[in-house]
Amino acid sequence: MTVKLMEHFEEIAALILFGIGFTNLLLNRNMMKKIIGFSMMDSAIYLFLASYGYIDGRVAPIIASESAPLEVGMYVNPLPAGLVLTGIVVSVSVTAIMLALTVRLYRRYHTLDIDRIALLAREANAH
Amino acid sequence: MAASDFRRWIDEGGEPLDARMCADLVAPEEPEREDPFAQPHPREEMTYERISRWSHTRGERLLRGIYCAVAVLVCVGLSALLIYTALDLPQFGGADALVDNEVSRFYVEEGLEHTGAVNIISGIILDFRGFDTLGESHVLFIAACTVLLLLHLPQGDDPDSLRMRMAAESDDRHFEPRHDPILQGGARVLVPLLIVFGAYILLNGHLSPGGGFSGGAVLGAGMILFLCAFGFKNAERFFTFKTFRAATTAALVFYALSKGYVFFTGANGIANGISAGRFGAILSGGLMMPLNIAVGLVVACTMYALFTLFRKGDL
Amino acid sequence: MSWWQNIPFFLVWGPLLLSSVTAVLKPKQARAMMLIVPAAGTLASGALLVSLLKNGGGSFRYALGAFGAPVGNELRAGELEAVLAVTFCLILFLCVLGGYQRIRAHIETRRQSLYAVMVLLLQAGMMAQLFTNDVFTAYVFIEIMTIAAASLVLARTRGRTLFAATKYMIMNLLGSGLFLLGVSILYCLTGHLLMEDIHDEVMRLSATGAYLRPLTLSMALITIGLAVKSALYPFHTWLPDAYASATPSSSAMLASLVSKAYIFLYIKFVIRVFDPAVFRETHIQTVLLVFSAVGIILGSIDAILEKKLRRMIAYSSVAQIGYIYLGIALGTRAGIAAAVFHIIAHALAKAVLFLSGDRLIGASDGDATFHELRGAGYRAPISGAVFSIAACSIVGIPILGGFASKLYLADACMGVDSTNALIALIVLAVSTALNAAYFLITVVTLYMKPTHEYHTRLNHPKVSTAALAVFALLIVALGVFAPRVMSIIETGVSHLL
Repeated sequence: MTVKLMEHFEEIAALILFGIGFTNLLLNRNMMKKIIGFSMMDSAIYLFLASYGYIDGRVAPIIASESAPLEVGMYVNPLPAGLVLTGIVVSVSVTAIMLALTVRLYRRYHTLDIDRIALLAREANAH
Repeated sequence: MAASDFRRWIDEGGEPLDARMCADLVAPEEPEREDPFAQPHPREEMTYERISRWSHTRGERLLRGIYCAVAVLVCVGLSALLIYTALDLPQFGGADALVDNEVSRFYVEEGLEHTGAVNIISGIILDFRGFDTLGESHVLFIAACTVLLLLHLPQGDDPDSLRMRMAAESDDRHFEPRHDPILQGGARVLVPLLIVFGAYILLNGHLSPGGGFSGGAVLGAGMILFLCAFGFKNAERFFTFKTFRAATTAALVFYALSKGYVFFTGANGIANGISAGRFGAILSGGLMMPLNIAVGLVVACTMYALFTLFRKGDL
Repeated sequence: MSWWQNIPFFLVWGPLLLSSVTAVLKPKQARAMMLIVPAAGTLASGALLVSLLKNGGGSFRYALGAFGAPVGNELRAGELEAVLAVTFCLILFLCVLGGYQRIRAHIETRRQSLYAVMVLLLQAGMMAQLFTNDVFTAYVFIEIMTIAAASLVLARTRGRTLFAATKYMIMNLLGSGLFLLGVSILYCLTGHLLMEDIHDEVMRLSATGAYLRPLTLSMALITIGLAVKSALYPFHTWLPDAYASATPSSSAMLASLVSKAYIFLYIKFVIRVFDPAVFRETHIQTVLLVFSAVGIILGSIDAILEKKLRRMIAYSSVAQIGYIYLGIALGTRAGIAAAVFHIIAHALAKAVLFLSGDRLIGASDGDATFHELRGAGYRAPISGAVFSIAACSIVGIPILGGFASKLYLADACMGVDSTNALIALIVLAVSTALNAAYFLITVVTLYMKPTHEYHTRLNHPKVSTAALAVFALLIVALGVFAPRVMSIIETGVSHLL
């Protein structure tokens, strides 16, 4: 068991971070902390994905010189890096939108607590 | 129904295709307007009071405790489940990883030959998986549009718009020191450096680590630093809402058109006449460098626009 | 490659290209784009469907760029995708047209260009969900759809749209996160991102029995992620607020199209990525069946208890989504074909309910409570008639689309001999009674004698009314030509793999 835990330390770190981020996004009442939770959750997935592209003893897939042999045994898997690059931009965009929403909610309801906002929104709907 | 009639109907100017049919389409009631800085309604004030009274009671503390307990349980449970499963996954960093298959081998062995990109990852995101990246730049675009929808304040001269803009200013930069010598001195050194560095990353995206997104982010940081140090008045001399719209649209249209050309010709088996170029030359990698520049423009403009929209509700 | 095989690519790429152009147009021209692009999409996907049927059907793959499988992105289209593309584009067009006046009244003029951008990107996103053959492309376009849908809700700023959009975003982000983690684990196990290649690897893994636990987990994560996004019962909390407060066009699009695109993606996952056999083995099927059965019953009860019209329609969506998942959870070809038919029937009916329901509310001095709706059917005769047709379709009155779809669902249940199928049949019967309870009562209320006078002057554009009439005709046509549509869907399902 311990050996296995040690073998998988990087994924385990990523998955614990995912759990923390997910819980924050789901259950934290503060909008800012929700957004932080979202960022953690997404970064954890990217960490997980990137760690599976890594293979011991190999280098980043940037070819140093024309004469360098194009051997598979030299470079790590480039695909996860590409996916992570795409994913990062997506999460940046979503973070910006969530922050803008938070600004608007704060201007309107003067609080960041999502439960209170829910109460106030119901009140606003009643009249 | 002639085409011009239809167009006129769409434009709602002049004679519609059938006056009786569309007469009522022309004049809607005044659109609903919003006021982000509106004062709360009296009944909302009562709710605020109720909430603040409630937040000092024991019930609230109990509820908060339960909330925390549930959160910890969810977090530990989810993580434990995920870890329990992850122990079954292939070993981290092992050479027998399942992902090390013919796909990644193809990228490494033949990526350079087909795309001309020394940086294989750039080759993947801009060529092999270019469709994802096209979608991704539109995610950035739609994010900019949504933030615009949320935070853009009306720029008219009517009292309402003026009041909103004043409120935004007093929220943000009313008490901020202007002409800070330390910030300005730092910016004089850093802004040119950042711009040059950003441009370097952009132009060498296919040769070294970097590319459109990272280069664009550095460029955007440089512009934001300039704005912070020298104020909105100076920044508006070279970057306004119009610049933003023109640059973003031009870059995105160029991006979509050139990728569309590559996809279309590739799928139909037509030679597209784009050569991979010489190894390691700056003008190699086919369309990769222009694409990186287009993406970089979009990213830099969007980053800068997001910053100014958050601060003053306009560009 | 024939010319028509390029259509799927243009269906995705065209709206993407035009969306960035629309952002710089004036509101007038942008509003025109919002009508023209979905209309063009309808024609193009219609051409695709006709050409496919003429050339003997089947499905084809379209490599994006010079490299197809397994290294590049790919699209894939068959009859099923073509049918749904026609449906989605047509409904999108009719939703915009049917609520056109309300869009102008609800959304500030300076924001209307942005609203048009969102509509176009939504169309691009939906087409991408239909045609993509790559799981990561699906993720990227899921995010586009999520953001576009949230923006469509918050484009109108009156009422609680801000809060509704926030709730929508939070729940959808949780869903995307789970989906992305599921896809990542799947990639780690198989090393592929194209659906067929993953399928081959999954079959190999399940034959050897290796990595069964991570495989099940990734399937569960993808299921929960897409279930949150399409509002399956326990994850539906974001739905009523979002659907009830947006401008009616947005509500109609969200309820009838956005959730359906996610469900179709899930169907592709069940058939093309995980095999139905693996799907059955892992018991996710059973869990899904329980959730959808509970959702059908409790969603209907929520709808019965609701006092406001638009929220009631929103809750009825929860029940209807349950039907679709019920069909998928049967795990058979017939079940999935019935689910796809129900997607079409429900998308048509729900869009009409939101659009005409809003007009009925407008005819009752803007009050959405049932008491005030009495006699609205006389004050707005066409809207009342169309609303009644759509409501009857959802309840399952013969000749209409909803009747045929319930019949096919029941038929699919009969084809499976297990206790699951029995439960599904009982749920179907009970829920039909519940549906009838709230929808027929609503229809009766519409034609009751009002308690006081109403002063609202009706000012509905005729083109929008025409859009509603077209909707009603389509619902009837779907019922009448159900066997023909169903046979196309069935061959489409068999070509999905």
